[in-house]
Amino acid sequence: MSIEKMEYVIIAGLLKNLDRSLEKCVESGCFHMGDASKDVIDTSEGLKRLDEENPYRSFLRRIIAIETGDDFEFSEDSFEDITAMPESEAEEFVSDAEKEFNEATEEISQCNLEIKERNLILTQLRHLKGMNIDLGKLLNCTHIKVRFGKLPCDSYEKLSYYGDRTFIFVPYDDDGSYKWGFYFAPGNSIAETDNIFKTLYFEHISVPEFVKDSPSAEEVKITEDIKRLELQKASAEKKLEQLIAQKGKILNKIFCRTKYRYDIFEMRRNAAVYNDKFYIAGFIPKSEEKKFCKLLDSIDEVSVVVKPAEKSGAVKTPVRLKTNRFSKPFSMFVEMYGLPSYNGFNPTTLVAVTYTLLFGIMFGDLGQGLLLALFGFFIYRKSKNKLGAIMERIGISSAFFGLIYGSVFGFEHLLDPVYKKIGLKHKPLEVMENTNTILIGAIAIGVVIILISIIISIIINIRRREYSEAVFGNNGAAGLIFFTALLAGLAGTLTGKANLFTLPYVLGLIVLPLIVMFFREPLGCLVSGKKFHMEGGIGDFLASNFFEVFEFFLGYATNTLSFVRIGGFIFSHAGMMSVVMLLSESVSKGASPIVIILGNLFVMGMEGLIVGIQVLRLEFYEIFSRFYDGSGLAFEPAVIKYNTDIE
Amino acid sequence: MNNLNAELNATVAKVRAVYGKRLTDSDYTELESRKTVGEAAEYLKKNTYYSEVLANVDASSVHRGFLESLLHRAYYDRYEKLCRFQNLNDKPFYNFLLIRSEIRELLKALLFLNNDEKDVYIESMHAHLLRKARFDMIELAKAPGYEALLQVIRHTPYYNVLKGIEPFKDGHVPYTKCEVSLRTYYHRWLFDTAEKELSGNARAALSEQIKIQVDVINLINAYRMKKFFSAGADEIRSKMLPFYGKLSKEKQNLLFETRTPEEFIHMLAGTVYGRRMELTDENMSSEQFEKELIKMRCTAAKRSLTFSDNAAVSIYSYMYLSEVEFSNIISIIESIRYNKSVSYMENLIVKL
Repeated sequence: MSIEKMEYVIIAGLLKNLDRSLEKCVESGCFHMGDASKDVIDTSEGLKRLDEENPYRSFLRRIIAIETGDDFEFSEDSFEDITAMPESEAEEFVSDAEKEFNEATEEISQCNLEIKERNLILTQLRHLKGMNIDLGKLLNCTHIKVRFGKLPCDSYEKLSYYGDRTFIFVPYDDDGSYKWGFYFAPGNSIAETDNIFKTLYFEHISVPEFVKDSPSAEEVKITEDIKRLELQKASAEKKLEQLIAQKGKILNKIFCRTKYRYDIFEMRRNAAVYNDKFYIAGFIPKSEEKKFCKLLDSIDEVSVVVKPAEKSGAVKTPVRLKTNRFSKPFSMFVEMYGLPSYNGFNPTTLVAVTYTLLFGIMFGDLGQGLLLALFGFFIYRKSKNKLGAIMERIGISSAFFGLIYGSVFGFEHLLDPVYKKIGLKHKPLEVMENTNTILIGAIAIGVVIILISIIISIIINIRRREYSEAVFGNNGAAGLIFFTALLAGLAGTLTGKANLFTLPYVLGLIVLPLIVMFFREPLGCLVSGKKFHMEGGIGDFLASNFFEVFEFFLGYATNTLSFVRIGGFIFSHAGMMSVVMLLSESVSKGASPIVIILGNLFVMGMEGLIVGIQVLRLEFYEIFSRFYDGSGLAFEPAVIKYNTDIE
Repeated sequence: MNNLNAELNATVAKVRAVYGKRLTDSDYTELESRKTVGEAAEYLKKNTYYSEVLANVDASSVHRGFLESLLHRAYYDRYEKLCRFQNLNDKPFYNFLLIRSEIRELLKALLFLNNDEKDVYIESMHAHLLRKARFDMIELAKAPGYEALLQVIRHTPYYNVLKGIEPFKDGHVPYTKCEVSLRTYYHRWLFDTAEKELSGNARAALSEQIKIQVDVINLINAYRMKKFFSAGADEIRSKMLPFYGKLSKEKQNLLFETRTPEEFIHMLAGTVYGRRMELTDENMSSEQFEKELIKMRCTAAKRSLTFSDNAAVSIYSYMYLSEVEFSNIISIIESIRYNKSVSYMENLIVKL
């Protein structure tokens, strides 16, 4: 699978047809407008960008501002049945709805406000409960002034400093941070006392005028009042519900019609205009060229010029990944890293295959794999989340490798009768008895993946005509020869089958590629006919290239060894499951199934997540880093967004 | 092996864990972007480890002064919790922050006494120290004069430090002299306790931290005197703490004898501290200079916190870093209160 071929499109026509043309572009669902017209304006004299005030803005704002409550949201809907509704009628409808909705929601807000206020007073009264006097009388004293509130406990400690002043603070409650209480002072010194308490961070609580009785009596009264307000609120909410049922649908349709017109008008800003003519530039997928041109042909005096995407000048061609049914969900990982450039390589299929295989190998268990696939299936069915679809695929892979390891929910011998029936003496691979085979196998997988990545890098660089990188780079032919020769030599020597490290072999296939990589920059210039400029002198050149080549060498070694983790996780999975089994044997027979179920769920949750992350790490670090640039621009067709976000 | 040398790895680990909760760069950026003191307090309450101390407070309407006192309380509580973690509070060294706090309160009281603003002192007093201080802080605030103040602290070591200092004829107290004497007492106590209770690497590490701290105080004061009062070498020397840390007496004298603040910076650039600081501009403001010194001091404290396995060294280093964080928050809150720009705040704070 590759990257979808794009075409560069320029639409030209009379200005009066601009809106219709834009509507057709949106209808096509495949026109990426982006900033392509900017290039047309920049490269052509006399062309300018349309800069007009959107006439639908104020009406749309009015619609959005209607207080419709939490149970109603504007959403996409067909507005064909109100196409004929005159603008004046729509405005009248909106005005009426505005009035009625706002009245209902205002009543609800007012009730909420009053309930909140009363609840606050209730909280204060609860702190005052210890004091059995009429608050009205206390607050209306002529010569003594009283202030209710709370004083930070720290400040309370400081009160002894003011022993000679004419005030008394009476605490009646303590919540750990504050002393709730009141202070009183003679009327002629209350201002001074207020100042002192202000410096002590006393928080004054104003007691409303309607609070006149004792705190306990007031509490009862206010609780009743809250109940009355709740009822009033419920009735207002019902009214709002009825309004939504009566007017919500039409209001939403008017919103959609206005938003459609608003968005189309906003798109006019992307057009270039010269006298009474307009130009719009953009991209369409090559596969949809016919459909697109046919749509635009239906408008008179509008022409469409289609060119290959490569002729779009300075404008960046957007990227749409081509995927198949199997690899489609894995595009999520690729997009997470960044899209490839238009002339780059779409690694989705490679990721899909390697991710599925590696996960299966590292997390091989027939039962857990099938459960994971089932779990993924439900997630995908319910939420269309790509991760669910990925879980389906990797779950099946895990189940397949579980068959090879003979593991079902940690039971290592459950499948033995099946193997015997098909003529095998025992399971195909006994994990704990084939340590070396598994570790060597893991490295072998790593070597194959690295070699594939280097080959892809060579192909991409040749396609981009970056021959020096393709031939002399560490991810080019030189690197490929060096890496292959070194590994082949090591494999031959370690297995004792052949000693390849002869002088011509070492000089030709190991030393020479290293020298080529060392001089890759001058060699690249030599091949492309450019003059090589040595920055910083010969010493600097030799030192920096020595360390770079040394780093390449280390990179090959660490990248290869990084794949050992594949084997590590095979053992870790088997080990963790054997712990679960041991634990299940150590408990009573009744508790044993519970331990097995919980253990399986724990291993699936924890190890499954870790393996998923580790494989992704291998993809991003060991594979992508060799050829992927992730600088692509996403293909985003022009659409109407039926949301309430407007500039 | 004596008490302070005992292996208290749990405390060391605990200190590092608490240090891990410090405000991050992004927390500072968020705080700086707040428009009101209430918004900043709300951010601290919802997103940082100050949430506990602000739990019962209506952060959106909290008074700046009250917020500051709560944050100071959180800072001090952290120290107490760390000391309590392995029952270290009965060991003399772990009183270091209490002693410093007492000295600060004493100096504040003296300052307000000189300015005849006793009521202002009671407002700014950290009330959470009331039950911890070894003298009656309320009586200290009430003291009408220097003599009465000395009577309040008569039973403490500070009395002997201050009793020889005579007030001026007009009754005012020679504040700077008192400050230098009390700070000298505190640092001498620190050095002596470290010497007595620690040995080996731990003693060396703690002594180094104290020495750097003394040098930082002396350098800040010397630069201020040079910059704002064009003070001469003798005047500066008389107001310095009488300890020589990483700067020898000769080097300090050379610094004090410089003729201008620019020359001071130039000479400092060649010293062990100068090499660790960014002294690119010889005309730097006093704030910039102090910020660079504190940055350097923080680096030393962080290194010590990372590499030391001694509880005393860890707590001492951490409390310095915690104090810098406290003062960063206060700087931001005050800047918000006075509508200062983000760049102004950035110049004041030292990110940890």
